[in-house]
Amino acid sequence: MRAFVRINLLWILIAFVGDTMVGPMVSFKGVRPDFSIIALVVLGLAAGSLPATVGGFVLGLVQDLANPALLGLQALCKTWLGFGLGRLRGRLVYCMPLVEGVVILLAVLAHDLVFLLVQSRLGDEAFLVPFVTQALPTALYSGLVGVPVVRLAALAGILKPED
Amino acid sequence: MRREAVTPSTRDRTLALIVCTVLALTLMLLPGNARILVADRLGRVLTAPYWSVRTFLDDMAELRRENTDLQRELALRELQAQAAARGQRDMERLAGPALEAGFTGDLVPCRVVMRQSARFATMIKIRSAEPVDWEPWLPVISRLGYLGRLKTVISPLEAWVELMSAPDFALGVEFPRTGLLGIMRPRADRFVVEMVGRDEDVQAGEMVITSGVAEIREDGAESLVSAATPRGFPVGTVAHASSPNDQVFMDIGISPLATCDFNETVFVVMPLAPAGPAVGTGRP
Repeated sequence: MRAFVRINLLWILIAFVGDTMVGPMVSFKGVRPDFSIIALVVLGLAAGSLPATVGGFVLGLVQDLANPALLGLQALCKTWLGFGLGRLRGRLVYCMPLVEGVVILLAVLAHDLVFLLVQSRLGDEAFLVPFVTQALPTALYSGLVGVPVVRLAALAGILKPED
Repeated sequence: MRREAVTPSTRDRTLALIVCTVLALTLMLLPGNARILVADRLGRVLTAPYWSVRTFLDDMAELRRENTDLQRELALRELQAQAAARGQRDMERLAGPALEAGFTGDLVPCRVVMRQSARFATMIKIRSAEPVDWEPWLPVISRLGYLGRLKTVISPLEAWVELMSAPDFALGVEFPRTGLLGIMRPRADRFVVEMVGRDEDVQAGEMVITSGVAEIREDGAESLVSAATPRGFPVGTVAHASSPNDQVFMDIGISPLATCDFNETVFVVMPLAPAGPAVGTGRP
């Protein structure tokens, strides 16, 4: 029970504080780390696919509320992302910052790929330009910033290899 | 073992995925207006409390900034009005045209970020919202009156202020009713004005202001120049004034007007131009 509370507190904190407070401060030319996905990676690796699926859905839904025209899209993307990340739990080489960074990078890319495909309605320009100018730099930045966050989670005893 | 007990089965995981996916797709497939209405209703529950708090805090910060600016403006106007009245009085008592009626400069609003909890605090730390090119010995006032002066500059944003209650503090003061000069010093838990002759006219309740005459400090002539506090900042009122038979000078106690007991904006008095070397040394 204590681990459950700790994990949930941590990922909510990462998503909330990261997106609302840290994100704007570390924003570089409009590109900032996607803390919601970093939080989802932490949740997925720490708790598995069921909590990550539900957490991803809630997180995406909250983000969708700021953009009602696409209500449900972020929820859908993050639901599947959470499920996939949860499936990775126990199958990764732990304590390898490079692995964690790559997981975050790929998670952001996968999320943005689906999101932009739906948002652009499969239009070339509407998909490619934001994918190259926004999604790729965001994925790289998130991968860099996410590593210390995941390491902190590991230090806090939330990520354990034996899980 | 305990962890295994709460590990969900594959069926549970798949069920959660299906439910969440169906919910998300349902939301996506809602007609345009209905989707926005649903988002609005959900937002009232899920995100409205956060946005309310955040907007409230932003408004508070904005209000605080505006309040600071207004207080600065008000303090400036009050000082100018006092200076005008003082100039009038100076003319009436023929004090001479060289006497400065009040300060000419600018006020930098600052927030008190640290102070001693002791009843008789001797220092406070202040922080300005914008970088300031400040230097030691600049006067610090509140809307009520003189507080002290900058002691140590930490950065363009932060500095420590020596309050009037600091043990070695001395300040040239004036009784504006008569133009009489004296030196204000803290003594234990009270403030006294020294160097006022026993036959002078000082009455309880009258105002004491800064005189603009620099007190002589022991650390050299340089601080003598820079330590000059402009004339006209209210310091306090005379609490008692007596002339003991065995003393050459009057025994004058004053009640300071400004205190640091309240969380309020304080102002650093910045000169408009670099201070010149001329410092008054006696009665005008």
